[in-house]
Amino acid sequence: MAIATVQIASGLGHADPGAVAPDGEARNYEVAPEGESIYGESIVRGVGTGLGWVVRVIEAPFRGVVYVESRWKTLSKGRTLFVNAARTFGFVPTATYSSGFGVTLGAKAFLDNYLGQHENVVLTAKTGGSVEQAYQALFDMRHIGGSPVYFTTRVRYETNDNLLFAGIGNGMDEKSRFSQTRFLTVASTGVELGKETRFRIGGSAIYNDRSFGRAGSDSSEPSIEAVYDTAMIPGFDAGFRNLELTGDVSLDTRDNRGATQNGTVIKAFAGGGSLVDSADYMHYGAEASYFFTPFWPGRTFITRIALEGVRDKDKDMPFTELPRLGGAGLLRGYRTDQFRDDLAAIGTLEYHYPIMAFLSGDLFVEAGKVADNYDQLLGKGAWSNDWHAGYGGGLIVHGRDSVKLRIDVAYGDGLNFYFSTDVLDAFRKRETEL
Amino acid sequence: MRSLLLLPLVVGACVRPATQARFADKPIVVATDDERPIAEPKESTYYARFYLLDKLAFDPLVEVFDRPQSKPALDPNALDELPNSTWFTNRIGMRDVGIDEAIQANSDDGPPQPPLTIVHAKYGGGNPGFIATDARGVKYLFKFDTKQNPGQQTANDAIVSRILWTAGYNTSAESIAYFRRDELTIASKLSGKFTAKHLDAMLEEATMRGEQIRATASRLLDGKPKGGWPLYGTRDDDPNDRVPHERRRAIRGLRVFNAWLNHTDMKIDNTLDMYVGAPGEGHIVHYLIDFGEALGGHQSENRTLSIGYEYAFDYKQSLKAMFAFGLWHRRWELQHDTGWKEVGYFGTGTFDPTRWKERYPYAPLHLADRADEYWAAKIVMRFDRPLITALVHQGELVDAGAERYLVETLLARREAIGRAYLDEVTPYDNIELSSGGVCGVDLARHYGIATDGQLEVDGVAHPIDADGRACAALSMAPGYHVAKIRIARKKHTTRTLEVHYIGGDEPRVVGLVR
Repeated sequence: MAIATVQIASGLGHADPGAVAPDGEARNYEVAPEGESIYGESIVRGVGTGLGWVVRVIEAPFRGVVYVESRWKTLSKGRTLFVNAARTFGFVPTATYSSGFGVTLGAKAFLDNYLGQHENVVLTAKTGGSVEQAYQALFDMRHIGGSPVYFTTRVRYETNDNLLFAGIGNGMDEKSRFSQTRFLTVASTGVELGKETRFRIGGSAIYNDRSFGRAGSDSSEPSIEAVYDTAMIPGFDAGFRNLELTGDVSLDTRDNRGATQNGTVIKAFAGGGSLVDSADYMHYGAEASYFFTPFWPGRTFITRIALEGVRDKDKDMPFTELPRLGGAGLLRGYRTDQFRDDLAAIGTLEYHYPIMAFLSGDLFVEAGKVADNYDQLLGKGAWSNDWHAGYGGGLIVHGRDSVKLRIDVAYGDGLNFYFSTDVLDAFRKRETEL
Repeated sequence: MRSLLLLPLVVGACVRPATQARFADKPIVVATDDERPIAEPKESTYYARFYLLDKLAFDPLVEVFDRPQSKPALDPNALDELPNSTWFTNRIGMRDVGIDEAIQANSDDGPPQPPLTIVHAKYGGGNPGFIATDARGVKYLFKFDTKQNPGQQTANDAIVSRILWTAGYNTSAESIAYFRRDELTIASKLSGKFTAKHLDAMLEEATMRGEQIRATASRLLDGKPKGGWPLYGTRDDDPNDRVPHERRRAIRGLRVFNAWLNHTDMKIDNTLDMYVGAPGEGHIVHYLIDFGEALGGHQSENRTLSIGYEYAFDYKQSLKAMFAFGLWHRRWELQHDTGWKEVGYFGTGTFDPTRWKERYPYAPLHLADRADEYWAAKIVMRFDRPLITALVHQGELVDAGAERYLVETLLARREAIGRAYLDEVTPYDNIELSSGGVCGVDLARHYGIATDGQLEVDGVAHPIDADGRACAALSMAPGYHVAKIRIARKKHTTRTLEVHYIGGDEPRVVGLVR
């Protein structure tokens, strides 16, 4: 049976084939039903409406900003004041936050691909947080002449007035602050292969010239000399200069660098350093992370172990060159560089799960320990002593191929917040933070 | 009427005269007088970032406390149907629409005829394309597929525009076009602004058929564009637009059509008002445009499977997910890739029309009530296999298997629509009165959604035929009457349908309340 579903007028007993009415007057109501307003009139609804207006008032300035930006493109127009249309040259303000140190403000000038070799020149200046003042020039070339060879060099001068020192070893010693003046030069080169699976092998030369002093007057914790005998801290009173040469290798098989599901990341470096006016030393480290998805897609577990060590005959390794634990990449729940010694080890179990397309949640637990030697680190009884545990969770904002922002809150030695752009990378800043 | 004669004469129908007539005894309104000349309106502005943030981030927080409540639509007539208007024209809902008519839709000019001269271009951004005139001087907007899903968006435009047109909406006329690169020239007026290099970059991702480039050719609409449909209220500068859009069934009912077609990209700039006629003598016609992201297109383009299931930013779902710590396996995660790039993940298994979501909250859709949904659902149910097959074929999918799959999927989703909405009211339709009583069709039974049921007219049960037809005696004494009708099935009884009618020698329905 065919159905003429809607017989608007025909077949309903009307002689008239149908009428025409203004918009909204087609009902032919003799008596219109009640309750024609959009919003109800009950007390509950009245309260809801009132609260709704409170939210509207709170939102108003934000809506206003979004409207202004959307209508007049203020951000993009503002950006043109700082960056050229091709985004190859610019001068932009920067801001970073570090737990326990605060906000660092700065400016960055960059020039990309001027020579057509995908090279990148960046000049930066910063102040605030742990940085009194810092200036850096960086030159970076990827795929030199279309080859897989890269070359990076940077020169940096900085003064810091409230860096953290909490003793050497695992003790939860009293925290103190110190200042530093530092000149750093780094040059790295090597070969980087692959797009999906990435393999990199290369080497770096790192030169440091450091001197130290008491903390700045506005430090939140006591200055170092008020807590420790600085003469007993290697390198502190006299400062030092050193040159370190290391080779490094890494393999990254992750299927995705945004919301990773499966893969392995292995990194290792090893080399030696020479302390001017002192003995040579060895410096090495390795990190292995395994990403796996045991049940539903998007629920990824990560296990990570990392070890870093230095070895010097005289046992006079400057305290800033010792492997450290604490902070976003190495032992969350603790302050950046809270623990330091000749050896540092960390194990992490992390779990990522999807929340939205570009947002994941994470839960983690990790444990780390520093030690003077391997016996202390791994020997008899070492597994039950001096390990520091941190645990927490957070949110990861990611694009399709990279992590944009990671916010973690972790409990260990108190509650700490971390902002980063890494999913576990113990040595990412090794070359700059040595 | 023949079946009516078969009715038992004594049915005990007891119809109370209404104490007050709700509907006037007037001819049913079949058309809206909304083509009266108006002054030419200004083109309304659309600020994408503001709109999207407003709808995704700000409005949902307000609605935690102050949620707009759905009230009955104001544009239906006394029979709870839409009169023809500049918004909606009764087509398949009112009459049989032939396959040829549905294929042609509003595309009198058909596909473009090369050579083509590009007169305007939009390159960069998410949806690059250009406007070109063909050999006849007809102007078209050309758009292309994404590299990841060749053939998908162009097919979707051609298919979905025709389905929505056949349903009754005004849509842009979309055709699949093929042309060679050497059949394209750039108008001299674009010299320097749009070059062959720009064009080649734009065509880089286009789907190819041999040496031919595949595109959607959207014939430019007649009239002058005046911006999209406001979500709330009416256009201030259009006196013909008198029904607030949140009370307009033509818009609210789109929720059902959009769910069926997974048209998730429903937002202001995919609606368009066109001023038709000379300045001061014209009126506005309301169009739906841009359907490339319907079906599986939006998911494929964004590589995001939650599209159709969650908003782009969805507080409620996100909070649940955050505190479920990954142990909540969401419906969208159960979808399967069909393996056809032209189709993507578009499917049926996890489809629940009542929980379907557009990508960006479009307020009128959420104010649809069960009468709106029933109205739309019964139109959806009118699309049968031959018609759907013919319309899907307009997408010129390369793989015959993909085409068959798409037909089956649309049919299965159509059935899901019927299950979700028909029995939310009393789906007794095609109502006819005679001196003996009333006859009509139980649409749920007719379409095989329900397999049982009895028609209850003022508490007295009457059988329903296997094809859904059911009749009952009614008092036909002169005067105003209200018959209360519902359908009792084994598992549930539908809500009461009120049939307001005038008895006497010429019995007539004056109103329906679903």
